[in-house]
Amino acid sequence: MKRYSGLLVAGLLATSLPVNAAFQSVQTDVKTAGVTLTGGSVSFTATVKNKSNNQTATSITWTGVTPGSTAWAEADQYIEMASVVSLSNGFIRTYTDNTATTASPRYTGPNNSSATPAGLVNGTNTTSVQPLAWSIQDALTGGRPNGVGDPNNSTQYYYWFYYTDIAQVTFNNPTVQTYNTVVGPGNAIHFAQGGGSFPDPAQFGAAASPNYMFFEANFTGALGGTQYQTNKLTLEAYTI
Amino acid sequence: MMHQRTNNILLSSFALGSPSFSGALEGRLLRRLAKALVFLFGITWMAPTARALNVAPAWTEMWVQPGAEQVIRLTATNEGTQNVKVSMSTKEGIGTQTGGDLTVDKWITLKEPLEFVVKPGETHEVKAVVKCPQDSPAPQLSAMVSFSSRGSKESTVTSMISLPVYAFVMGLAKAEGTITEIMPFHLKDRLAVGMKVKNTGTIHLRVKGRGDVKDKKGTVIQHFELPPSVPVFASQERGYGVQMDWPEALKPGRYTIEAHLEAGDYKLEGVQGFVVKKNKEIVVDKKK
Repeated sequence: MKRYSGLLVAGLLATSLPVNAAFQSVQTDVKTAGVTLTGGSVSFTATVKNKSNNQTATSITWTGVTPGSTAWAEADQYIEMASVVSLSNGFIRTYTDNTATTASPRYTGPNNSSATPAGLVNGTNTTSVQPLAWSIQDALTGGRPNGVGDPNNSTQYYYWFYYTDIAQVTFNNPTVQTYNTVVGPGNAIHFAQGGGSFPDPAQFGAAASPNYMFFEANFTGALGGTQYQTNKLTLEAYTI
Repeated sequence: MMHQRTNNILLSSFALGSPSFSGALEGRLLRRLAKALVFLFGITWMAPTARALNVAPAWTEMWVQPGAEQVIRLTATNEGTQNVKVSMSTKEGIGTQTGGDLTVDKWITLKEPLEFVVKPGETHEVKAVVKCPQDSPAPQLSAMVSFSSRGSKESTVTSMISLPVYAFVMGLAKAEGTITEIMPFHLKDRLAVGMKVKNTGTIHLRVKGRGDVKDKKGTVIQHFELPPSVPVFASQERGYGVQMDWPEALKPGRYTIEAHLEAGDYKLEGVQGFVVKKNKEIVVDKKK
């Protein structure tokens, strides 16, 4: 059995095989990072947990994905995000880094204004990705009233954000920086899209820690028997 | 040398290495460089099993001469009880105003080793060489230096902390701005003062400073400090605010606020008159 570790992964295998059968847990994943200074701090602890039992998990996976019919689907795990952002110039953001030399699989497709490395990389054809999105909520339930769907449908799915990739050409644009910011000053979580320009994003609201990050991916066009994954899901605390 | 105590952490302190500049500029440049770095806070990495890495400086701002090379130093101190394996990298900074193909790897280079282990109680110094291109297309170069902790196994999420490095290019960089508005107001029995700064230069201004509330005799009845925070980017305007307990001496009458702000060597001054009414309502003079 092939051994994977540290992956955000979706398996679309032949229907006779259980989905995700190829993935094996190797490590409990708790990641912590922090910034401290006079008058404030930025820190976070990210713990992957199962939605089914809220127990610590080792990977973020999707099950029940049917090639040809499943579109947007939510992952079986979430990240419990314990954070403190009391600095006025401190932020936490998330992105993928799918062109890194250590990315596996490593995205090799186009990177331009219309195609980016962001998402779950096709393990067979590394020139393509399936779109990936995140959402942060202050509770495990009730925060996503309309379920999963296209973040571009901002009327219905305003609480989802497409993943960006650090290599994409627009990554450093202020609007992109706002978009990929998960937590901002005042420990305000990015609960909805819309408004504001970095570093003054709108649609942030103070929320007591911990908060919860959820993940969805669009499997439209995904192929059976193919693994889509990234081992480069990044959470980054930083200041400006 | 600069240092500052943080919450339970005494930050590392160090100065820039000697820059190598031409004689005519040397004195001026050294004076500027003496104020080039601002080490304001530390960054703490805490891995789950009692590992903690304190890195500094949290941000670096420096003036650079096109074609010249400078060395900056960052430190990582293990304040935990277990070894921490650290991996270093650089990336484009936020607010980058570079042009053309001037990517971060062309002006800032981390010296080897890029991966190292910091033992408990020890400090590891990382050097970065900043070399401003002779033909820099932008007045401000922005980078991030990232520290990521790498255990012996892969993990689902890559966590990292990134420190910004800003290089202001001499000859192109211009620090300039104005205080466009000073707005005192009564906020739930507190005195709040908002100050709006417009950046009319070519580099960001990380504003900090102080202010005084004076009565009509010129006596200071309240002093306040504005700590540095988010910079105001070139061509943008940003509001900063402070709050304080309502001063006992702030009775009905006429007053003046004097704001003395600075961003590096650049000074910004502002004055605003106002009247406090019996109900503590504040009416700002239309004319400063």
